[in-house]
Amino acid sequence: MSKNSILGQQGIVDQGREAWLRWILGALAIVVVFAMALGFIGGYPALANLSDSPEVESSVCADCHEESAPSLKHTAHADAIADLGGLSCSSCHMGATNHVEDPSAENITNPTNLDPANQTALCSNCHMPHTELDGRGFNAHIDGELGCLDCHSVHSSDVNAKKLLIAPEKELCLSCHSDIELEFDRRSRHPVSEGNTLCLSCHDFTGADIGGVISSSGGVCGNCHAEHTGPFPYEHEATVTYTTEGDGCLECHNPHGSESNFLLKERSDDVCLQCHVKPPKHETEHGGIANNRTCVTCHSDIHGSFTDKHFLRPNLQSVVGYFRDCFEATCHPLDEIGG
Amino acid sequence: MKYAVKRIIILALSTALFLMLSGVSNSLLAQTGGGTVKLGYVLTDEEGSRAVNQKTFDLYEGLGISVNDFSYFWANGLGLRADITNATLKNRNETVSLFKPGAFSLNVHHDRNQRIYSANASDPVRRESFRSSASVNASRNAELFGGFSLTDRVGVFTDVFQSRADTTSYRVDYQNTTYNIGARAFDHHGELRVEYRNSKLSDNARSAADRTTDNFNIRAGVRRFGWDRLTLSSGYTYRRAKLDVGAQELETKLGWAIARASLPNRVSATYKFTFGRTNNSSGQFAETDNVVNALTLAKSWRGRYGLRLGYENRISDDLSERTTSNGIIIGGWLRDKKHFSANGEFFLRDKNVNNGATQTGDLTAYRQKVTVKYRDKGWGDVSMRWSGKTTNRDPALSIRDTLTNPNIETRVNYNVITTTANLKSKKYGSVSVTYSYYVGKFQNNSAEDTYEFSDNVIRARVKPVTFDKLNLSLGGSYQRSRRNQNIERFNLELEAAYEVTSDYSAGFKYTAQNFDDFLFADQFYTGNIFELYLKKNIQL
Repeated sequence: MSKNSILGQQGIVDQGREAWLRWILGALAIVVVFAMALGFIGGYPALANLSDSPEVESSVCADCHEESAPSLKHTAHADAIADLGGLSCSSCHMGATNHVEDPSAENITNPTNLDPANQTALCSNCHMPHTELDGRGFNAHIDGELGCLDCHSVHSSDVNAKKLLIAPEKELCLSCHSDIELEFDRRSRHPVSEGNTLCLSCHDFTGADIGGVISSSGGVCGNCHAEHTGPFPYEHEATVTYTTEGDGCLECHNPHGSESNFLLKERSDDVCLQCHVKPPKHETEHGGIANNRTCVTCHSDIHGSFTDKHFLRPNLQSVVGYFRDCFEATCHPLDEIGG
Repeated sequence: MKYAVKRIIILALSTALFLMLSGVSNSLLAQTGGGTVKLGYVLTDEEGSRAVNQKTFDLYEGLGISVNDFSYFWANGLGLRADITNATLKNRNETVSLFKPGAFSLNVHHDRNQRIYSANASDPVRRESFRSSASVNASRNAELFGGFSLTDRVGVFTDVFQSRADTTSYRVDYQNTTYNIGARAFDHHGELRVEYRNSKLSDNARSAADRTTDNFNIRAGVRRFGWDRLTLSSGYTYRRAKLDVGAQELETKLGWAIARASLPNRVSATYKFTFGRTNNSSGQFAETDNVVNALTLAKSWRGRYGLRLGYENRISDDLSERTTSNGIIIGGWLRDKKHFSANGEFFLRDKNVNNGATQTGDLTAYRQKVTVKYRDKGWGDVSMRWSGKTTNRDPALSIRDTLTNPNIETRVNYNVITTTANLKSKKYGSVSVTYSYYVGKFQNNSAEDTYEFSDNVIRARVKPVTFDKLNLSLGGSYQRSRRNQNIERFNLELEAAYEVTSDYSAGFKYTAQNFDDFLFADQFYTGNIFELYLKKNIQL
């Protein structure tokens, strides 16, 4: 229960919200139980299993499917079939014995025709599946919506295909996430169009950065923007994800593209005002600093400071100029602002 | 150090190129290979502020060479891939890989570019990145891997909040080097991966920021753990970042586990648990614990449609403040094998402050998206996608009471609708059109401040079939931003290439870029960019 909920009208609002949340969670629990029950009624899906000896030797398959062998060339699958006694075409194309007797497309498994869950189960016989989850603990890619063959092609005809992807990485991702593509045309953006940055440079759902959900390093952003990561003697909570406050870099930045400099979500001080109020005296005293200057004019070390808990510019004395009077008065002595 | 690293870069690239050239020359061993080599010359005519149109951040006048989609395979299975995009004396983007499937791989990437933040392009921020990685399969079930990377960045930032006079600039000048080394063992039952990673930041503009980071990761995954369809993954990460000057350390210990069960009737269940503890020796957030529990259940019916439900609970506690958040996700999808697919997702997160008072307070956030797509192998596809998100923040009263205007509530709402059509015809060629409508609103009740924008963006590309050895391509985009923004932008691309012979083609590319921010007279840019090139297809 929120601290607010014991306080007057705000509490009533919060109680209403919590009751609403309970309803949703209750409904979720019912659906979950229903889904589980549905699951145990039926049998297991048919999965491929590797045996010590192949169902049918690959050389038998090649008698008719000679066009398939070149497509495996230069891939690890060709070497696997050549080197491993138990692996053959029939490891993935199950039902090969019947197919040899009656060469019909109906009596042999074509993995591309399997549903996504069974595709993933098939490939998981040799490959560790992408079980990793996004920052919220979920991942649409692995929950049955997509199978391995939605992105990969074992019989790839393109010798330049990396990781057996069916298309170059950027095109492949944007073929579904088309709304993101135009954001790379914005005034400020990551250079994805030029190939300097790739989708998987940040969205590594294959698991290299699973710790990113609770990161002290700026998460995945810190890999390239190391100068903004801590430790700082004075951390800005919003820039790290491990504190009770912030959600990290994405609190202020829109990583795909923005009409504001530095990929900022809002243009000017609005980005600060998401979480902060303008201190009243900033607007009224000394000519109204907050109305004439941006927040970062003074609070420049906004990712974290080595000198000041308010993230003030270390050499503020030399640049204050216009509002020097503020720091020569008793209310803001210069020794308080560092530098 | 900086120069030693550069020598390593040059040596690595030279080695890769030597291997490439020696391989090409040794035709007896060669099997297949090919790619495209392009020699081009760029002419530019620019006017206005170079800072407002970062689309041209890597634009340089002069001669450039590209080697695209180059691959070469030896008879013994050794392969080489190279991609070098418009390398000039100032700009480059190169990737070279040498590999033998199942044996080893060596990858080298180098890129160099600049960002311009001042109107006259003086003192741009230059970034140079070098990344390399190598892996060796010590046996059928074991792999050793390692890598080295370097980021070198130098320049001046100005106008963080553009069009407001903050009269200041920020100099950046640092190198960040990282190396990692590790091993992986795997078989049909699972895998074990161990890695050590070390990073060092050397900041020439701010020596107090120099620091060293050590990172140790171990992860294990087990398939068929006692039950045929249960996959278990778990891992542990230890990370310590330490300032070189002073004794401040930031230390994180993070453990996680994921269990994924494939239940009967195409039901899958995924449970994730994460526990992290971060200690900061500065005394600020001295010890913070984070705990995440997440459960997802997914069910599909005959692979045609499916449902996904998830619940997440997150607790964050730094001894003086404690927050909890509950999140649910509901998703569904359906797909017709041949033509139609659709999916949708709704996510809700509700975060409450249990103890203490945080600056941003309680938070409620929603996001939703729906995609509908129809595709046909014959003529292409059409799709529509809507995504939106809303964030409400409501700080605790104890924070508000200290303010003259206590109502700090903020609300951010953002929606985008996108429609795309990709049409193709063997007889005529292809047309792609994408239109997006973005609308966003930010409200801060404390400052009585509202910021809104609505953008209309359209992009189109037409590529007719080859006509009498002439290849044409025409593309462009137009953007109009309204409400509190008043921006107009368009760009146009026209490319024509003539196949002189089956291997050689000559062409030109014209690009026009235009940007106008009508609220600020100095925020405009117009650029005409011409490129003449000669291209050779290589078949080896």
